[in-house]
Amino acid sequence: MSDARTRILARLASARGKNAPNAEAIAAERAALIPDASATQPTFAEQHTLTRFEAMATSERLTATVSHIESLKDVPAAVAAYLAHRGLSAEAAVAPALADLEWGEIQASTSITPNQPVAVTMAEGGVAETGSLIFRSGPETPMLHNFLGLHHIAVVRQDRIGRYLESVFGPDAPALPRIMTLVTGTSGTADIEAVNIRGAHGPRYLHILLVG
Amino acid sequence: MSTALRSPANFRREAAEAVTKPSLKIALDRTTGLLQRRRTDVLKAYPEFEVTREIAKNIKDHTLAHLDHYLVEFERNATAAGAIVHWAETPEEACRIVIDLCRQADAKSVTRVKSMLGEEIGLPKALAAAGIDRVETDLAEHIIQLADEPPSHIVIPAMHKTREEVAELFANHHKEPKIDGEVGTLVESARQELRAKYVAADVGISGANFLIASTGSVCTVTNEGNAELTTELPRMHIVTAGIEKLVPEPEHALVLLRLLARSALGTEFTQYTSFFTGPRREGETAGPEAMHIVLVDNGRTQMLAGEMRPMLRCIRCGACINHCPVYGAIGGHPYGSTYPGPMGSVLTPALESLEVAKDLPHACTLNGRCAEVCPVKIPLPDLIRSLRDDTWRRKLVPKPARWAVQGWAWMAMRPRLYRLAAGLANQALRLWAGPRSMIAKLPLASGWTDSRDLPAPIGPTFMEQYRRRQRR
Repeated sequence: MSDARTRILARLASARGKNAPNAEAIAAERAALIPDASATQPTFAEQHTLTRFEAMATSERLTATVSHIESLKDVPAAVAAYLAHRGLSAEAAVAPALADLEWGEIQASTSITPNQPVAVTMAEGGVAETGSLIFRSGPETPMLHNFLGLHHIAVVRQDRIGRYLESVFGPDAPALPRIMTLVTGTSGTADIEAVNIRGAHGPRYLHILLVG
Repeated sequence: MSTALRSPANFRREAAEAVTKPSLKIALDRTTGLLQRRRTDVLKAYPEFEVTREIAKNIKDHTLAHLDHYLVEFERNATAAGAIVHWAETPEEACRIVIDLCRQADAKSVTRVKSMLGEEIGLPKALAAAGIDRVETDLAEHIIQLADEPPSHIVIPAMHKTREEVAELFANHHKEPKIDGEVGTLVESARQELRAKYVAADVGISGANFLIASTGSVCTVTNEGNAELTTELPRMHIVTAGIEKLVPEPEHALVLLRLLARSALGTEFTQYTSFFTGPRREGETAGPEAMHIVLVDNGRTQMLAGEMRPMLRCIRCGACINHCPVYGAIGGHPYGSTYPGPMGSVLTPALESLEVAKDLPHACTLNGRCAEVCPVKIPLPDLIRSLRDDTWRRKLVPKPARWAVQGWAWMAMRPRLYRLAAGLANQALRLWAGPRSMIAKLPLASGWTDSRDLPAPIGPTFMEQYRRRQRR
């Protein structure tokens, strides 16, 4: 253990004074810090979680587009339609989680290049409050696929859209992966004169395929 | 102003110079005005703000009260996830740890995500001294790296630059510059320039918006997506973070995140919010092989033990800066430190010394807007006033100012004389001003009148009016 660590912790202990509370007392205080999470959650007019999610994701600020499909099998067709609509060539980097789909005419590869035009990935879920998609890193869902494409097409099951941010860390949520990212709209910057611009480093376009 | 010469000790001179720059005033007005309006608008749709900031304050106060407990919990969980935790008391120690790690990784080039802690400990300079090529990936940091200038704002470090100035920088430095007068084209130019550099980097360095004790995670937020590109591609991820960034659990970070984006940029949420927990795991083909977290004290344990403790709640949103009339007039550079505006006037004396930063607590009108907008309810004007007391007690106030205050105090304790003098001064100022009621030049007041007119008093003094009304 480093000396710096010992000295920092010692200074903190002495700042607190003699009556150091025990771990149980700290835990009790910690459990009471948020008396009711709903007090911090913005109320929103939309009754349905999904309606709010779509409204937020497609808002002027987040600039995503959304389309609905029945099942995962429909992903390649929806991707093909998007590429055709945008006049893009029929190729895409796809997350390994989606590699087994019937990609047909689309040249789908699980590898990705630094200047990838289109990437298709699988989100674990979403959050209606903010219009965010939840991505977890893993062998089947590499994180870079969500960042390198100029166009990002994200697949998410609509029954995995939670109402508030707290749903990301709820009691049923799996342990944290190496990196978990909430992607809320497209990459943006306001660094020059506070003017909002899309596609700063990450995707300029985000298209969400809602499944179910 | 180049990065080499800055010090809060030069505040008076730098501030006087700053008010004479028209392009700075334009940049500041455009940006702070927009940010103020956006914040007001986003809070209209968030009536929960008041309750939430109270809860946020409690979360931070609780964590600070038991910071040793939470640091140890964080270290245990981060280590369990495979990260390596380092501790540093001073900026020099923190930089040395980072440089040693870069050498360990045989790093020639490092990419960096904007981190105020990194600026605070002088990491950019330390990397340069070690001969390591540093690439700033945040757009604003990229701009000021090209300009060889320090940041002038903690959220928008290039706030002082107009689009025209940015265009000139890109034209001189980018391999294939794209410029047509539009901000969007400038952003595209930077995107192209930086893309290759992400891939070439050996080490990615980030800060932390929150450190989460229960999971050992580091949480970062960006709108550009540069944190993830910076940390996913290189072999090593190094985090530098102040020890006050701790929160007990992810749920506590969520509450603070709801306040952060609204207060900083007037948006509901940041575009990219990431939780990093350890290095590359089994089966993964990407991600850093090693993750190092450097926990930095640099005066924080001392702040925690003293009167300035509430300042450690700060989540670096910049709302106090955006609403500060002094910052709005001079920008960030005259403050001569990493942290400008109201939060900087409190932090800089604590991080450097009150001797060198003695003018900062006085660069304040005590109008109170900073405290009104602070999402974690830091009583900034109270802290600033307390620092003013300290400068007085420690005789750091310049002699003419001391004499003036002492003279005023002497008069104020003699009400008749005071009223007489105030009445005369009132008359004299009105005569001096003439029919326009504005004073363009006044002996001994050139500090004010050089950059703006002084409005003359428009009526009798308060006491004269008071007595007249009493008689009625």
